[in-house]
Amino acid sequence: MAPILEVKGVDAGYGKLQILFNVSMEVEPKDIFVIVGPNGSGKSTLLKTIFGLTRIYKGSIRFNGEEITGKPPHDIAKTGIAYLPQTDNVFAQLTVAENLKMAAYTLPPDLAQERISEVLERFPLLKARLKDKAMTLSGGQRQILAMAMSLIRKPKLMLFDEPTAALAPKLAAEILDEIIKLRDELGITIILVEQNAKKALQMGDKALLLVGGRVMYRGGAKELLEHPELGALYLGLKK
Amino acid sequence: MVLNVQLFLDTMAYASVLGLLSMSLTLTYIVSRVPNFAHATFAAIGSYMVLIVVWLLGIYKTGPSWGVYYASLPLSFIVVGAVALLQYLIVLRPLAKKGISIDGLMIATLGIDIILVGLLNISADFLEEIFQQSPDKDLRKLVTYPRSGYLSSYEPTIMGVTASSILGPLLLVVSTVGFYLFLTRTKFGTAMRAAIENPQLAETLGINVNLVYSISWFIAGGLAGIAGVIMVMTTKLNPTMGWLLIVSVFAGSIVGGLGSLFWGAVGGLLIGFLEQFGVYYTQIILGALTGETVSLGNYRQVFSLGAIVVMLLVAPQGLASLNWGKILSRLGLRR
Ligand SMILES: Nc1ncnc2c1ncn2[C@@H]1O[C@H](COP(=O)(O)OP(=O)(O)O)[C@@H](O)[C@H]1O
Ligand SMILES: [Mg+2]
Repeated sequence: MAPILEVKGVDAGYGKLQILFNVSMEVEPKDIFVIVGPNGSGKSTLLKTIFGLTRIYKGSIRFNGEEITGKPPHDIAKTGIAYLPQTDNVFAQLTVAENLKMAAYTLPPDLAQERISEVLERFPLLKARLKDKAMTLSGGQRQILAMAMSLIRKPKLMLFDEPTAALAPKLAAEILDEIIKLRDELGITIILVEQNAKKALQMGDKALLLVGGRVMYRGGAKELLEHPELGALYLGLKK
Repeated sequence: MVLNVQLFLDTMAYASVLGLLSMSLTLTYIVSRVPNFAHATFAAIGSYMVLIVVWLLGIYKTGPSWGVYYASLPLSFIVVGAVALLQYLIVLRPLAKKGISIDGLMIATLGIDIILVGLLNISADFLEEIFQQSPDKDLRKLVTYPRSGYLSSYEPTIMGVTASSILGPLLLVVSTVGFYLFLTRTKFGTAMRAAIENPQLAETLGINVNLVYSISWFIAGGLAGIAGVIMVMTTKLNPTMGWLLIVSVFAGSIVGGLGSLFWGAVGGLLIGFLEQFGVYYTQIILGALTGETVSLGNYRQVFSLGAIVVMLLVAPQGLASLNWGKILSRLGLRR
């Protein structure tokens, strides 16, 4: 099958500060593709780069066969990619309803209303909070809202940046289950950056290990989990 | 003596001008985080539009006319809105993209202010030349106007009250309420709040943040232009007229807290009243003490600077940060 996302030889960073060096990856449709690596290795930067939020010096990014390198993020949003940032992934000052409306910004009004109703069916806890400002939500509820927001445009590819950070273990497990459901039930391709490398690699199909902005491993997720050195060296996994 | 009706009416016009300017200055500050020193000169450009309307619509021949407002308000809104938009697109955004600090951007707005005043001076020369050379005797009388015209002689009155005293507050209320409804009730207004709170997230949801910011600058400039139309009815037309006002405009925004349009408008309004009545009563008191006529009109900024100092000491986040529910109940106005 043709890959849904192709990153080829990408150098990228912030201003003149280069963070990523010659990064390549291919993501197959309906895979859960896991990106792991030590803190500061450039995982978040890689997701941002796919979404056009950093400066790309070299290389190309293709989504669904279409070149998206250098496109502004608000155009990339319309191609069917959704991105859940690690922090500040909802508008704290807006109500839950307004947040959802903003997530449906690019849709015609009727369709927007329909999609908002759909995600409210999927995440009923948001229904009771529609009029509340997002800053009054708990951490887990915010994560649910962020997920609901990114589903509204029915993306084909979703980029998750540490969706379980700062959540209690039980909540974290629920969020990860939800992500697996998105793939299984809605057929959405997932790219997941996760600090809990073991959990992530267990649920992932393919994986990429990023160290110092360079690709150290690319291949099966289970293989990385069972790799004799890499896991212990970079991910704190026991041998 | 204690209640001076004419002073009150004059103040209504002047304070509404400050209200409009402090509100629109706050808008550009919220969007770009830059204190825009050119903002009061934006208003001066709006003031010049009134002279141009008086000239081109032949109002200098016919005398006071509502045409002054019908034509100048939309014209000023569009022209000054465009100036503000260009300032954002040509200067501030490229500099910000290059990573220039807020201080650097602030200096850039000072530079723009000087350029704009220069352009107004050139325009004033140009207008003087046109008026002087005109075969029209009435138009030749306007020759001093580009540098020291009192355009209030062309504004109509409503029951003996100059229109600006009523129109000023009306425009302030309409723009504040209108902007509030726009921000809270429309999709684009909500997107504006979203883009201001978190531009990156807004972008990833498909909102064109640059477009939102551009429109914000245009609206802010437009409101400053409207303020200029009222402003010129309260003072003398002159290329540097904005410079006399910029301190008061900043005072209004700072008193409002620099974070809320509504409180920016309230801040500007309060500063306007404080300056006018502060000057008036100080004159009376000093006059009574010295037995001479005291004129303090040129010292009005003492009151706005004083207000900045007091506000920063008492509530650095401005009026917007105060717990109004508690204050009202303390005062016995609310339970
Ligand atoms: N907005 C930014 N501007 C400049 N440098 C940044 C920015 N965001 C991250 N960095 C730097 O990029 C490097 C990689 O960061 P990041 O991609 O967040 O790593 P990770 O997500 O793997 O922890 C770090 O050295 C970090 O300091
Ligand atoms: Mg990160």
